[in-house]
Amino acid sequence: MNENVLEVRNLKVRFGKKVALGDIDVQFRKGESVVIAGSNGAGKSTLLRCLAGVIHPDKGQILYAKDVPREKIAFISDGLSLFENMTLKQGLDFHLRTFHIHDPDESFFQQLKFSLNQKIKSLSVGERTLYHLSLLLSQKPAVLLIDEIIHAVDPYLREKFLEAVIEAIDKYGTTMITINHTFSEIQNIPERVLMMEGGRFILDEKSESLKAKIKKVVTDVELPAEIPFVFKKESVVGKEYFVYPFQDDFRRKYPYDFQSLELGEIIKALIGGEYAKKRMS
Amino acid sequence: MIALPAVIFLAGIIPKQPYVAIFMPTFQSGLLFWALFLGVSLFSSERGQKGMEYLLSLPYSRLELLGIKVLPRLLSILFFYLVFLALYYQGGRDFVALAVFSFSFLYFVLFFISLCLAPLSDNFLVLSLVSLFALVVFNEIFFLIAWLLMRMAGITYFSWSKISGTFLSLEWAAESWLSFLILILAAIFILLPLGLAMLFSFKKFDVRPSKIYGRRYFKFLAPSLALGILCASLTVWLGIDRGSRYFYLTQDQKLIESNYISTKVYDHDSVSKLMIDFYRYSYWDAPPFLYFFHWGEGLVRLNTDTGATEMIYQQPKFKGKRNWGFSGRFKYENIISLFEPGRAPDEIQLVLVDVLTKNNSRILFKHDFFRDSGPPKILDTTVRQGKRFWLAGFSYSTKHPLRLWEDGRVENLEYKEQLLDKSSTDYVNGMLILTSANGMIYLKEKDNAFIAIKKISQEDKYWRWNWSRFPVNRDSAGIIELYGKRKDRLVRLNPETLEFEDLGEWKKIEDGYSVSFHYLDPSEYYYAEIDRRGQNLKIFRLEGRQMMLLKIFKDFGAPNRDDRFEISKGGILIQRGKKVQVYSLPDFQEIKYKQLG
Amino acid sequence: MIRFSIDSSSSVPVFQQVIQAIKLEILSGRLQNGDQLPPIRELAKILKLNPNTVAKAYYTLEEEGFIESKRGSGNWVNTKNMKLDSFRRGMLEDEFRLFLDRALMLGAGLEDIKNLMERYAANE
Repeated sequence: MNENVLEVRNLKVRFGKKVALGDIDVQFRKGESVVIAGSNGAGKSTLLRCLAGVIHPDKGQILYAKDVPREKIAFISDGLSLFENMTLKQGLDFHLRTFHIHDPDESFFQQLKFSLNQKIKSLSVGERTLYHLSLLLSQKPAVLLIDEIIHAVDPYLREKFLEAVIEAIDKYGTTMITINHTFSEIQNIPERVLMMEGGRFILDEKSESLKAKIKKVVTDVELPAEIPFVFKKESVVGKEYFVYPFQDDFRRKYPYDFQSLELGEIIKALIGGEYAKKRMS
Repeated sequence: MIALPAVIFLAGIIPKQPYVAIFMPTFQSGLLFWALFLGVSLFSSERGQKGMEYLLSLPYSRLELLGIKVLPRLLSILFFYLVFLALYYQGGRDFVALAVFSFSFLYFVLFFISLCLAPLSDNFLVLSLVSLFALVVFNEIFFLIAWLLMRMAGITYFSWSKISGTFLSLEWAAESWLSFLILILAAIFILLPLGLAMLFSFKKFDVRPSKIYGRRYFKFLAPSLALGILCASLTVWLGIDRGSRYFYLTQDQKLIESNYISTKVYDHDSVSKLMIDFYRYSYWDAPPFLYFFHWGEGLVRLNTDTGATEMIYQQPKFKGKRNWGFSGRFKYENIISLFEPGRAPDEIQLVLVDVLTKNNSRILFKHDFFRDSGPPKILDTTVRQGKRFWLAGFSYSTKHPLRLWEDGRVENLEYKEQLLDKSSTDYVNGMLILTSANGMIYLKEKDNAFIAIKKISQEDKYWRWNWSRFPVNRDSAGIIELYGKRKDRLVRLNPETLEFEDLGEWKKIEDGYSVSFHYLDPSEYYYAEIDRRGQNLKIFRLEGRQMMLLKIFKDFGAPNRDDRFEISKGGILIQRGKKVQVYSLPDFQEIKYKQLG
Repeated sequence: MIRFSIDSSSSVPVFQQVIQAIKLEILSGRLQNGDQLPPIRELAKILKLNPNTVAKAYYTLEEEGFIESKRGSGNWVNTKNMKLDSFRRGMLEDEFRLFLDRALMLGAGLEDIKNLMERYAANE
């Protein structure tokens, strides 16, 4: 369980003068599900593209485990990039051929019941996303890299997709790295949260420990300075404080109701906090 | 694709149809566009269907991807090139707008350049323009190197137009395979950095803005291009031919040395170095003047005393196929006569250059024989009944000789005897001699018509008389004697009886001999025999059926040495390796030139 | 057969919730000794959980002796050697402590709770 499937060392990527990734080090374990969270432009997509080999880093190394050939790395970008002039059939055949997949797992593909003779570009965004995901799952991927795209898929198919991913994780020990995927039905999948800002990681926590460390307090008054918080929302109802890091002492000392949160809300609060910080500076 | 073999087939069976004339240039320019398109469109299909990220995420290394992308394009380029060659050799040869070499060069260079630049931009139009610009820059660099280095080497005649001419038609390069190779090598040295820079930077090609790729590309391109230009320069510099020297001995025994670089005039105790901006060939002299043709331009006269040059005849700029260059001249009195093409295909102009007044006058002649023909030879000129005419004959043709009258009239001297195949016409000692592969006919004029006086049939076809340095530039003085080879003997054709007279054994080339006859004027004939095994040169004088050994030059014709000799009115010029010697005739006194190293 | 759902916002870790739920199923008798538990993959799909989480829960249950894992064939409820009563008592205590925490937070005193319990006991 503890062997690394992927190790990233000193990764640096620049877009001209702008630093997209500044010296990143991170490891991913086999079978692990990770969500990378962060505001727009934090470098999440760039990191994912580096992992997929689409961006060649200016410095640093991306080391996949020996038993993970490039054929087993599946990537879907937020651009939903495919050869869209192909028909669905051609696209599937091409994908299976170029990724050297001799025994594809087409179970998810079959569930989608596409008509195979239409062109990829004629698909709606949601359909296209699912089509692309089905290609990736047919690969029996060792590493599944999914950019911020699932939002375009309707809830029913989203659930179907989720089931297919769960199956892949269990069957093939797939390591899944996604970006900002915090829908309620998905939020119990990631075991680890990576938070990015300005091309660096600012947080790397297990989901469970993150849940334990962040609590919400709704109150009319200011929180005492001793209680740290990452984000504050104000509305007519009152002030919402997202306390982080939370300590068990707080419950004994203060009369507030420290509420536990879903992962999705936690990530929302963390990202909101980063935006608030940016506005301050 | 299917239509192409059909086109080849059609072009093959009806090559002279007018549509071929339209088709070939169109096809050529189409192919050039095709080459450009295939190059710049390297990634346009991915870019067009937003597939770039997908392409780069496929499990191939960047270089493998590049190979996968380039290979089908290369095959297509080669396929169409073969189609072009097939069409070219199937009858399209006469209709191409660009000569086959310059076309091939442009075609492949354009493909290569546009391919190498393709990852630099997403914009098709920008890429096309940049590629064309790069092609121009490449040409300029290429010419500039050639021009600069040749100038540095001291090569006098090399104008810009000549360099581009050199590039486009390779007249200069075609002179030797080595210089051709040098040019190709230099071109590769300049082009290679483009490809290397691409290979180098494509290893890190990704979906980031192409500016980032471009910066890396040019970072590598700049130094490697500099190195490439250096290598190209070095290649051209080493390849410039400075060594070979050509000597000419004038009648007043001045020695003219010329090579690509300069011309030197040696007198007995002095030398003058002249920088002459002419591409010189075909020398003759009439002291103190040295005449030569300036390639493609005209006839130049050099005063060997003063070094002054002047062009006494300027060749008009011919267009298309009727560009004859110079085909020799016929000199009589003070007149140098030569031909130039007329405007219409059946027209020809006789140019008379007066060497005293430098006056050029032209007479236009019109005859069907001038169609589809190179220039005829002027064989003789005479004044008859107060009017001058020129006798002109054709080489390797079934056309009869013509008499061209000064009033523009053309008289067809049709003879009764018809040879079975094409023959060349010559005029010796008042006889027309027709030589073909099947035999010879001697004709003499009688009552305004030529009639055969002797035939030498097929079994005697081994009689070869023009085995010699028979002057291209003829004089009215003409020649009388004919010597040559008949079977294995050296013979003379008696001008009176037209019978063969045996002179001796014909030395065979298989035994290491090469022989030549030298006709200087109506009364002076020489025979030279090089024995390559014995490494000596024997010079004989021929007088009637007598053959007198004049001199044996030892140490001549050594292997790996370009030994030459020339017999002229000024004497005998002998070049053995780097040693140059001149002997007077007929007494064989060595003439010393103090300044000659 | 499995009648529970996961509370994503609970402070109780998800795998603990799975453990609790299965224990509850066993204690309530809905899962009997020798019953087969749903395969990890199926349970993960139903609950939308990471299969690793479910596996972790099963593993803990096996450690604690509630279930028996047979390689290749699945997981089976095993209560033969268990003293179910003592576990029931233990769980009750856990639940009760949780309830007390919340009641105290609402400002209730021990008397209030006692009264409330007596009233409920009398009704039922």
